Amino acid sequence: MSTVDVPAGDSGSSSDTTGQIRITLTTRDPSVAVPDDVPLYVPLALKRYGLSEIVNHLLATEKPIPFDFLINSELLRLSLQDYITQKGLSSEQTLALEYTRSILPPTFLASYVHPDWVSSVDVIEAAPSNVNAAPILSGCYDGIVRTWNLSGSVVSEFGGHTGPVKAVRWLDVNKVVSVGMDRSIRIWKVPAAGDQDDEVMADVLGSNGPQTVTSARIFAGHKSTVEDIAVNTETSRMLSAGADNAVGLWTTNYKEAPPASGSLSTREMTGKRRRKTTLPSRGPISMMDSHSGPVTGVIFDPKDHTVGYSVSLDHTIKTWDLVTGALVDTRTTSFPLLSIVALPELSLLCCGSSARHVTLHDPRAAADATTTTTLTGHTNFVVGLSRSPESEYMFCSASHDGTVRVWDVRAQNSLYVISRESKTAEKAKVFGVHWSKSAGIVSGGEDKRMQINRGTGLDVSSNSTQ
Amino acid sequence: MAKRKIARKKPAADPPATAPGTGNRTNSKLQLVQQRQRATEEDEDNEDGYIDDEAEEVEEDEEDELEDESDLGDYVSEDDEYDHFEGLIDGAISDSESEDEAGDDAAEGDDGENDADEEAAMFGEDDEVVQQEETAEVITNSVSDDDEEDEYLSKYSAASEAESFSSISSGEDDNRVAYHTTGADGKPRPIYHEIDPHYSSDDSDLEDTNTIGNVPLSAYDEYPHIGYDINGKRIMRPATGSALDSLLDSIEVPTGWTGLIDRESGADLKLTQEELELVKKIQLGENAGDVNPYEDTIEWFSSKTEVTPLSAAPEPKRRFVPSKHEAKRIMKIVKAIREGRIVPNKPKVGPEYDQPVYDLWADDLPEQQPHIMHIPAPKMAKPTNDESYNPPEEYLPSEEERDAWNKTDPVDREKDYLPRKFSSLRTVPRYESFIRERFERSLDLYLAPRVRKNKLNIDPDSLLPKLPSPQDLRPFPIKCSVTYRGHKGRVRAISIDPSGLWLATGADDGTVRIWEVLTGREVWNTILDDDEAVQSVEWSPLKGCGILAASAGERVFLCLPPIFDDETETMGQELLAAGWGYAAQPAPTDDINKEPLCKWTKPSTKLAYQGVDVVIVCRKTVKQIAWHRKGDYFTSVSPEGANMAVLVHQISKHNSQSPFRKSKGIIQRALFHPFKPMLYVATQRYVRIYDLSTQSLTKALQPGARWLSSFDIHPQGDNVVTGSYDKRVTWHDLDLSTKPYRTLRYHARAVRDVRFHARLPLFCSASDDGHINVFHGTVYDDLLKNPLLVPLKVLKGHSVVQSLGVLKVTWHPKEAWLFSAGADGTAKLWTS
Repeated sequence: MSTVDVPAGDSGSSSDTTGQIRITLTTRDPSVAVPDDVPLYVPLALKRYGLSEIVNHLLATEKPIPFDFLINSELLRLSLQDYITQKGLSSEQTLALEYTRSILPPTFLASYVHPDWVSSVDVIEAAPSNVNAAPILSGCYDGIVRTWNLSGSVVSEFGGHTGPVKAVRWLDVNKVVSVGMDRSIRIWKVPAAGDQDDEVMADVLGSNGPQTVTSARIFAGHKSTVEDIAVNTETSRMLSAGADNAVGLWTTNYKEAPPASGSLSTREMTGKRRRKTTLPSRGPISMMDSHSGPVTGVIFDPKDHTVGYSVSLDHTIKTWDLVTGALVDTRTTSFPLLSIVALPELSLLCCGSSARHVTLHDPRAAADATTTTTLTGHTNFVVGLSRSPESEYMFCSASHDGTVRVWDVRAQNSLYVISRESKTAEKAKVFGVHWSKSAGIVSGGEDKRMQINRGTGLDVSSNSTQ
Repeated sequence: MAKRKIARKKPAADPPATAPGTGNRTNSKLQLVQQRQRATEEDEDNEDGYIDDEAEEVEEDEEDELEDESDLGDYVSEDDEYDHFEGLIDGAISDSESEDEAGDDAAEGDDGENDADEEAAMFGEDDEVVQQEETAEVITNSVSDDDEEDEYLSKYSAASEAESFSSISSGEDDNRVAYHTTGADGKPRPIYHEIDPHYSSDDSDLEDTNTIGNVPLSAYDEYPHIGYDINGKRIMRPATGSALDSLLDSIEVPTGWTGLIDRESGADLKLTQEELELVKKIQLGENAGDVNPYEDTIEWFSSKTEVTPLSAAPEPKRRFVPSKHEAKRIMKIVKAIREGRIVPNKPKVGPEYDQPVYDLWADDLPEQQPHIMHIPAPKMAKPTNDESYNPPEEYLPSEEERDAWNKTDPVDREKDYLPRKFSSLRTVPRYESFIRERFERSLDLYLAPRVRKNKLNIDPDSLLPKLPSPQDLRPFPIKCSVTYRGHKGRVRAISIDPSGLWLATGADDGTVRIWEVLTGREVWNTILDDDEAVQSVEWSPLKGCGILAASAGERVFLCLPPIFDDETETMGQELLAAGWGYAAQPAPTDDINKEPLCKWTKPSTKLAYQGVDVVIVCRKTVKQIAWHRKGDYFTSVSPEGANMAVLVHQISKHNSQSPFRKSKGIIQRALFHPFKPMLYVATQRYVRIYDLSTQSLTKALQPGARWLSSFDIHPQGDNVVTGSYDKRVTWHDLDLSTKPYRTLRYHARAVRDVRFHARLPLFCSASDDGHINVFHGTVYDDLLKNPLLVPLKVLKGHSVVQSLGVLKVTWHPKEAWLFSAGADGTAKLWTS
């Protein structure tokens, strides 16, 4: 039995600083395991930082590693005193603490300026061998889709949308797909960067500027704005969310796609003249329209590619069987839903709502049998969600309140809040966010910027490089 | 009923009572009649039913039947049977009588007649007279002859008629006769069906008792029957078992077996358990009745004085005669007093009795009960410590306090004395202000009114209506989520398209802008007029056409914003273009001299490629546009237009008409009823409701405001909410009154707009104070329940520019979201 005397560096909120509690420390990470599993007595006033110091002390690390602590698989965000008061526990009990490496607060890296609002971002995880010069994709309200390299320059531009682009996704390293208010889905071929390395590429860019692509494979079928697109490379399928209350299922292979029911004609929406141009297009495999409100978000089930989920302003999450195009399940919530992301390891669907919160649903259980967790903190619509590439518990959310928040489903409050670096007069809305392993948290918004924040720490290698 | 049963049983149980000869019978009848009259007289104030029962009892004794009319229907069948066996009994007992059966029949006939008479009597007051008549008839009939057969038949038919009077059809009467047989006298005699005794039948408790009377049973030994039942039917001898059966019976004794034969039925006499018990008790010489020999004693004679004495015996004499023993003892004491052995009233001697006693309260007035309205005079305040001649040091004023006291005005002084200290009471001077103080006290008592005031002890909270908490009435807008920025002037008009995706706004800068609702992105704008402000913008309620009506100056523009797909746009173009042909046709001849109300024209090229398809030029500034729900008609209001202030435009024919000939005042707003062919028109003071199908005024609401700004109709059509420039919002229930049901005064400045939500029980009012008040307003389907209005939320966010705040509001078609247009050049979305 050893009592660790830690100077109360973090001022505990409780008055009773003298009290002590018995804890046991466990971890699943063998590299940072505490030598012996002995129980310790620690002051009740300790918070995460103090406990982290204890672990570092026990490990005798030369450089302190930040840790997060879990009690009953719930993240400890208070002091131990407050925690046991909140839970109604006695200080004579033993607390079993599990610790994990904590992620560092995401720090601002860069902002890439666009000519108009940035509606959507996506990052491709390229294999290290295949150097993809431009892993970051952005959709902009000027109707142009851009790819960016990590040094902040546009590599290629895809122009052709006659309205603002609402969502962009990487199909694979060579193809991107974009949807927009012109009701079309376009697949663009990324111009080959060749085997040039970055410097050569930079030279090329310096000389020629971004490569512009205007030819696209066009898919049409929605009657109103296409709000969101989800892609599945294994089955070569795409799901689209339309404001015309329909969910579209499409194939990425243009030649296999059925012909469009009507010819897509696009007009310049902001132009002087109503110019009508008819473009060759292909139609959807099926249009599933049992939503009663505009569909705002759509995803594939990460485990089962024949299942899709869609959220809509009609307050529902619908589960679709993509093989038959049949509606499997409808889950009604109490607020209009705006975004969706799946946490496959936990079998959870996270939905952002117009009521300023994120709700967690289990799609397997019956709707009336489960209680949904609600994560509150945003002060406006939650329009974008992206899961963490490193932790199965974490995801980030983009909101119209101008912040991106990092959440852990085990904690009630958000871990970190990322605000916009561009100081505009009003809080600029954030429209899209993507959390990638290589680039970090990429978000785009009303401030016409794509902002990159990076906060890693779970990965030992990345931690050691810092 | 119980009485009736007893009455019925009587003749059967006691046949000898009816046995006397004819002469006696008549006498007894007379006696009975008299008896009955007395009874009737006595019971005159009894209830009808009771009188009838009495009468019936008497009548049945004389073998007549006066049926209780009130339940005749129930007993008709029973009567018949009764008649039947009465006849039999008669036959049985009057063998020796000279009267033959015809007489009986005649008596039967009388029954019928009596029934009829009884019926008549029931409705008349003179029961007795009728009954007397009846009796007379009975008497005559009883001595009637054979040759009155015809009369009998006629009477019988009359009787059956009388019966049919009592709700039983004659056909049913016939049905009761099973067959006719020839009687002993050779006349047809009806044999009736067996009566099915049902629950309400009186005879259900009649048993098959042997009615042979005192005749020994052995007289029937030779017959297969052992007697007759009350109906004169034979009671057959029960089958006796064979010798084997009786042997078996003697071996296996059945329960209750006695070995005796029941004299009545001829069957084995079986005794029940109770009867056996009874026999056993009798054998033991115990009390055979249901008596408990070991019952608790009741103390009849106890020390308690009973209210009603048990005995009526007079008080014994000894209670009144002086006791001799006492006299003896008293004489003993008297003797002792005379001899001086006892001194009565001897004064007590001792130091404790020497003190004289004074009555302290001798001169005290008897305590008077004050008058009920008397209020005692307030008591003077008691002297405090500092008023003492020798107060403690701490009460004495310091030098400064004394100066301050001296300097202040006597009126303003807190205390009208200064504490002073005297070494002894002897040195205390005369109290200076004694006279003044007495005088003031007298004035107080004399002039101060002492009035009893009734104080209402009511908890003010209990007077407040019980309203549900706003938390329970969610969802309602609480927060500004999106601000639509871009207009360079006051945003005067706002409208949301039926799908809830596109918000249209019009502003003083002459532009109409369309916004993406969620992101606040402007997707389309057009300048309608460089000089005039856009006064009104309304999307067509027709889904899938995308027509936007906007008004600027005296022109109304019908636009097709290029934000929809081809299908929608084509449909919108077709709708708008369909009327050009109609417009080209010449106007009717009588209107040819008149200038048309307004002109439908094609837009200029500049406007045309901005998206405007039709321009309607009116005469005066169009302030407001309202669509009909089907999207073909819309009204425009130009307040300065006098009798042409309200115009109804038809898109499919490019036609405009003015529904009113005369000007009714300055028209503020006109709206179509949500589903009825009605037009609601608000002037400055009134909201008038016109029925368009009959072209008449249905109702005129009086909100009591000086100048109405706006009104809206509840989606169910029976309620109207109005907003006025004098800060008031009023709710009208059209079923209740033309006056407001509720007046809501929550705004600090003029109310600009009021709107109902199309689906949810919400409405709101926007005001120049920059606030929007959101209310919950449930309208119940139950007409008796008044609408429930609950203030929910004040939405603050619009800034006041040149004393103008929120100018227009509109609700999202599905969600509890509210759009507002403000004078600060922005529109806002408020979400739940």
